[in-house]
Amino acid sequence: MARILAGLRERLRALRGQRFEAEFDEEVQFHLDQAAARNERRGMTPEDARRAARQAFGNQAVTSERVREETGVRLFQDLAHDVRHGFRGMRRRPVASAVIVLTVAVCIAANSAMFGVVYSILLRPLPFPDSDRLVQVFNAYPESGRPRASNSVPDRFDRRDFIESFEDVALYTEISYTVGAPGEGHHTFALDITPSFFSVLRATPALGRLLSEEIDDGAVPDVVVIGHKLWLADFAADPDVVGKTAFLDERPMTIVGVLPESFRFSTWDAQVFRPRFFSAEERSDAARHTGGFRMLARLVDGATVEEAQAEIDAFNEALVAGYAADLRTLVTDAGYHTVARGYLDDITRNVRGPFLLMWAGVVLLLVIGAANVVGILLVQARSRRDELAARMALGAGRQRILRQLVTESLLLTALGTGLGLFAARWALGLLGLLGLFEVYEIPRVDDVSLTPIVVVATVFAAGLLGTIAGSVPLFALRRGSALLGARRGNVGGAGGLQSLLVGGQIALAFVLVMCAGLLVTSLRNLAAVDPGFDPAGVVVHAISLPDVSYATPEAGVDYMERLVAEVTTVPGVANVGLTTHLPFSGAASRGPVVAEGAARAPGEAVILPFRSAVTPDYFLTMGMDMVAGRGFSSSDRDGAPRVAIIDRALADRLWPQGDAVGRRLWRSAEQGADEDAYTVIGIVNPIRQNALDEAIVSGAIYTSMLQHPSGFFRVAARLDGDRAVIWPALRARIDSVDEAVPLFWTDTMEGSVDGTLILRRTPMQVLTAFASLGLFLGMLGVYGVMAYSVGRRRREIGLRLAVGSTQTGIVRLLGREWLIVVGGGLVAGAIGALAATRALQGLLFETGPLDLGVAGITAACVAGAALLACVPPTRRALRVEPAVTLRDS
Amino acid sequence: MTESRSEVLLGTLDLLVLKLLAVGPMHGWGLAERLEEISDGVFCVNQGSLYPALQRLKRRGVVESEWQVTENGRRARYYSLTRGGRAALREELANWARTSGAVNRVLDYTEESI
Repeated sequence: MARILAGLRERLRALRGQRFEAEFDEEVQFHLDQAAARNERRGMTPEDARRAARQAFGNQAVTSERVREETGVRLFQDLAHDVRHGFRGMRRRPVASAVIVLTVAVCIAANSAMFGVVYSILLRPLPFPDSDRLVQVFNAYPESGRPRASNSVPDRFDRRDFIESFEDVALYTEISYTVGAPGEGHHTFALDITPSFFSVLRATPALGRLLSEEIDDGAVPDVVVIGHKLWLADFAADPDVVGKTAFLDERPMTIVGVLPESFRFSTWDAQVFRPRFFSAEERSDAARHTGGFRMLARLVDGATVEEAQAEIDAFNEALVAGYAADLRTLVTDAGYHTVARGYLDDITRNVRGPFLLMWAGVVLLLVIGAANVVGILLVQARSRRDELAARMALGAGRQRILRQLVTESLLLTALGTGLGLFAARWALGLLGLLGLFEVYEIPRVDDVSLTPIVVVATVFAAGLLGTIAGSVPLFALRRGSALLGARRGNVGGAGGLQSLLVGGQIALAFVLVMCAGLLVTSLRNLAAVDPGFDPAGVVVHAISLPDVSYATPEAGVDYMERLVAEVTTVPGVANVGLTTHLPFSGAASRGPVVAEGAARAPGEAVILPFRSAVTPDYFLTMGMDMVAGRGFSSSDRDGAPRVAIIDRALADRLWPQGDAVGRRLWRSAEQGADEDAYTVIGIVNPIRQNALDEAIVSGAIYTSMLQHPSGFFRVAARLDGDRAVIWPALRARIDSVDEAVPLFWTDTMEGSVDGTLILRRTPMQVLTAFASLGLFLGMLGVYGVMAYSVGRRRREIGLRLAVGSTQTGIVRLLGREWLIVVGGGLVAGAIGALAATRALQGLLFETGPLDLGVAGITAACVAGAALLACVPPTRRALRVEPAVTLRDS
Repeated sequence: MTESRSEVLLGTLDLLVLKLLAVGPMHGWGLAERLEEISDGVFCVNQGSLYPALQRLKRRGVVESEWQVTENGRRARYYSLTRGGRAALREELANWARTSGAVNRVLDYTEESI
């Protein structure tokens, strides 16, 4: 402590620089006088005595500088000096400085924007206390084609009561309600939840209370918790809203609490939270594997996800062992197991790959840019070799020179970083333009920003870059003993380090371009996939019938028939179809199907085709082809024989002989009663349900909407003509059927299909942009190294030309150097690409990571760019006048 | 003076200065003169390099300095060991493993003179 204080005191004292100077001079003078006096006493002449004293003392200037260095505070004085010196240097070398600043600005803008996205989406903790203890749990039946299914009610009570790693367990269902007084409702996202949902999240209310678990088993109390947005929009931020009434689907509910603004849960922006309670029947063993709920659990303090997983596995094993034989076989053959996964990991699982890919790309870009900065500073340091050598000879310590070089480099980097951070917001906007922030599946995407952490990380990275870039030249020069050695003859090409840097840039640019090329190819392959329907010209809306006014199935069917009849008369509407589940809408239903007379082979999993109910014109509207039999007609309604249409994939599974039409099946795991059987009346072509890259496995089964009406459905209309005119008319006509029925989720089918490509297209576009930038920076690097080389070799070139070398010879001379740098880079890049593209594999669709076509184009592209970059230096070399050059030297 | 030699001397010089100051406060010239006498010219160190060493020791807090007036009436900066300096000296002496003839002679001399 005393030591630190002494050091501090000394620094402070030395801060008063002038006094330091004067005192040190006095001290030296005293020393020299004493030494001279002694020398005189020993018999020297006064003059000799003084000279000997000075000689014994050594270089005064050097000593003074060293003493100053030892005080440590010199730093501040030097800093000011270095900064001034740095600015002067920038003015002296405007082009090189501008290139450095802009390179850093571009790289920093891209990096901070990308890191902002990665941090906001993948890394930032969720807005719940101890959010790392939140666990998503779901059942899986992979052998039946459902690697990710939901949870059933009994699971919740089992896992709450028997899994000791779990503090509490909640169920929730994403749902939507029509909120508002009857006739004025609007569609609102909602969650049906077990009251434990809020305690699992450790959420606290802004007003009122959250839900309590008091009434289990009992009647569902008509209470509701509302979100902050709804509170603002529908209740005008009423501070006394608690106890007032909110209408959900026309039913009055009492508001018991309001959530704070900070409460955000998943991508489902729920504003209404209704408690769910379960009857004894729902909780019984019979309800197992019926699904229907998502599950969120909170780990007890100290427990890990792995421990919870192990406990669940053990519990499931015991549970399944106790099942009746047929149920046991059913779930075992389906590959039943339960997955517990950290909540943040789980919600980011689909976006992690693409985002990490983009991040890796931008980091490569930064490295390429850094190589450029180092390269330029290296050239500068070489040309300043005389200046630096002179300063060192005059007593500037190596540290001092280093500090000056680093200060200059930091100055340039800081300017670039400032610009870059400023531009980063703009870069984020650019990412937004690519549609990245509109993808529903990306969690927290509406809340991407350059948080302080991002800025700090960026500044830190930039500081590191500036320090390294500033110090590399000194070490490089020292190793070549170039600084103190001063002048070697101006022969030979660029330095080894510079060539290495540029080779590295070429290699990294190769990797970036190759990755971008693979993504482009992959996306092209994917976009070429036929979804099985024709999305062009189809517009869609969702409709949710309030279940008070439409309490009976007949009322629903009546609405649908009126709707279809009305909409069909709108000029420009070619066809209209309704469906419970629309492909590429993000929602799908799947359930077991069994053919009459069929028995599952031992070990064969029950199949789970997609299910939906559709109106007669639905297939026509969607452009789906009937392969055999007939479509639904308006007589396929309640009371008529139950009928189903299946797709060819399911038909081939159930009746491989190809005689599916007229056969019977049940929509259950086992054959049921006669009256529950469906007769297959037709076969359609299979379609992709959720994504173009999905495999069609167990197909789909369609039932007649008029026979099985649903209060929630989508209207698909194929428009023939100017969408801008027809669409508003169509919507007005839908509204006219019943104004109290809200219309929402307006979209085009093309938009829905395209939306599933964004997670592939955006990384492709972003990486292509990074690759282009990287290639451009690589070109700058190549240009720099060649230009430097030509500059150094002017005399050599002049000499060669003077003794009869042809221009071709000169080009060949430079070509050799280019080949070493660029060729080496290309080879290294190809090797690097081998490793990098393997990591890319999971993100590619029907594109091998070793696509030779892409590799060839990449090589041609990079080599071509590198060739282009050395055209100006080569031309300069060819313009060298032999006579002039020789005379100059 | 080659670089490697000066580096060897750097550590030694600090120790020598501490050892000499353990006898009593001294100004820079005094230290230089004493060093010259003791080492028999084995260290052909520039006397000037004593001052960075002193500054370094001051920063470490083991040496402090004060302006005083000498016998013949001139102002001079006197250096002396701090309490921490005495501890540091003991420590460094204990750690002293490598010895050269010249260094030993210096240490012997001061041992006697204490």
